Amino acid sequence: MSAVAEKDEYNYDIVKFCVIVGIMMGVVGTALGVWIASELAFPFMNMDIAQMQFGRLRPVHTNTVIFGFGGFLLYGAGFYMVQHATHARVAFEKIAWAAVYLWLIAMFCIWVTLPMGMTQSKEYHEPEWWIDLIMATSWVCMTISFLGTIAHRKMSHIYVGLWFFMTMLFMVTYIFVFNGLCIPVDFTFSYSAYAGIHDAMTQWWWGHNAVGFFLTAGFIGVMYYFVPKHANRPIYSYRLSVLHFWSLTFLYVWVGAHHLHYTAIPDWTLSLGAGMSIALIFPSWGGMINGMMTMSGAWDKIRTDPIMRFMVVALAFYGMSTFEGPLMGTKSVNALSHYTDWTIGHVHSGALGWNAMIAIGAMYHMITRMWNTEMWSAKLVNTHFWVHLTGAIFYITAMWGSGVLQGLMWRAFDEYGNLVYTFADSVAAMHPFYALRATGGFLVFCGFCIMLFNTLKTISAVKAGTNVMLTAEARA
Amino acid sequence: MNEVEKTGHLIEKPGHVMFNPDAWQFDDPVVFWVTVTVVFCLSMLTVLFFWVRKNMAEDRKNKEGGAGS
Repeated sequence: MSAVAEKDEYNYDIVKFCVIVGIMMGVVGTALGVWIASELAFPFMNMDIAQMQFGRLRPVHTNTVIFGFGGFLLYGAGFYMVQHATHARVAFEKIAWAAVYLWLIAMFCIWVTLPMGMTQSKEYHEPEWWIDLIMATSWVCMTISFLGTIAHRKMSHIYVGLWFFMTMLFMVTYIFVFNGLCIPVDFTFSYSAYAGIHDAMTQWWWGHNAVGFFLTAGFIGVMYYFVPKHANRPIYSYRLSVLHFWSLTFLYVWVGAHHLHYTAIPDWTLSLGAGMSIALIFPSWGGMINGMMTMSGAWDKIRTDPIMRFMVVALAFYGMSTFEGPLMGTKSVNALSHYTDWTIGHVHSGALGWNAMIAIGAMYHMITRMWNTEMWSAKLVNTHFWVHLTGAIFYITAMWGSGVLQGLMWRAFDEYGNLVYTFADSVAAMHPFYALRATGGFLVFCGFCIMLFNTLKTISAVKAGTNVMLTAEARA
Repeated sequence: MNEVEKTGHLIEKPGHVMFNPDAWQFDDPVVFWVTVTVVFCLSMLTVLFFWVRKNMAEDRKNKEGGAGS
């Protein structure tokens, strides 16, 4: 095989479908997020309807943004980059389409069943067993098609972004399946195959690796492809990216135990989880530095190109949240942060700052390249960037404030050893922070609406022939 | 003086604990490391912001025919 061979004609239809559905999922998921955030700030919004309660709707929000928005971004970007990085058309196209449709069917099932209270009560793994089966089948189809494309590649080398995708595909498959093992009673209920602390351990083995492999390895793969491509620069250090790949893959699977500090889990397990969490700072920062330094010689592009801005700010948030997370995994910080809103703030600094911004940047990049056009309105892309960033900052700072406040209130004792504050006091103290959080979330939702509008107008302009085509340099 | 003596009752006003010096005992490792984490995160984002701005300005200068062009 030659180093650079001729290219097959790529299948963009499947990527276009995933990108448009992904943006719609972003709109729906953030709308749900704003609604439940508002329920916490203004409880009358629960309306005394069981299906509308925070506890029922919260997993609908998390599943929609993680598996809906994040999932369709990963499917779309995965099919896009595997074709470009191998010069081969998507392999087993019917299987690839089956993966996409099954994933969409699973999302519809999630939207119906979770509000009705049908849940396995496992975080990020709430859907009942039969929905798990649909999702697992979809994931296996995606894996077959992805690996098949790599097998048909037109060059000997496999780009590092694809390695990150492959580790995601393998690790998510087996951890998702093992965590989902259960004894079904009927379509609405099942018993977990594990009991007690084993259930908790297995759950957080999955729970943290949904973050570690689905939301990190996969999105890092996206970063390694789209940042150099959009900046039109080579990756800063390929050696560092390989080191990043192996260390991240090795370390992430150990850290789930830090979610269970101060519980009945053996202390050595928790210490191991905390230690591995701290060690994880190094590969994470290696990746951030590699992505940032790729901008060398292209920094000026940030001034003129809001898509580039999305990607660079995403890397900054990746670096920040991968420092914050390991520190929160230590026993000292966890003694205060555990069960507080700080955890929610941390998750959202990763989700809104890192995942959403790199995903949005990659989506805009793919839209312009696949339709061979500039966006209908560059100003709206810029507006989206600032609205999203402001919303994310509102959200994160609100949750830092409320989380630290909660932690301090819960551990305040008077001179007799009694708690100074009741739990209800801490709930009342949260109100201004919850209102600010809902405002931040609303801004992020507005950003997604702007993106959807701009995308639809762009596609309409292409169909009408009134669009501005990309320059040859941009298409290169 | 502790909270009970200061306020005369056990229940604090919402939000008060953030500005209560009794709550911020930095010789307590929990409070110390919590503060380090939050301050470092904020500092990191701030430093990265100014670093990116500096690189943008230098890159622009180089492209406009300055040093190294």
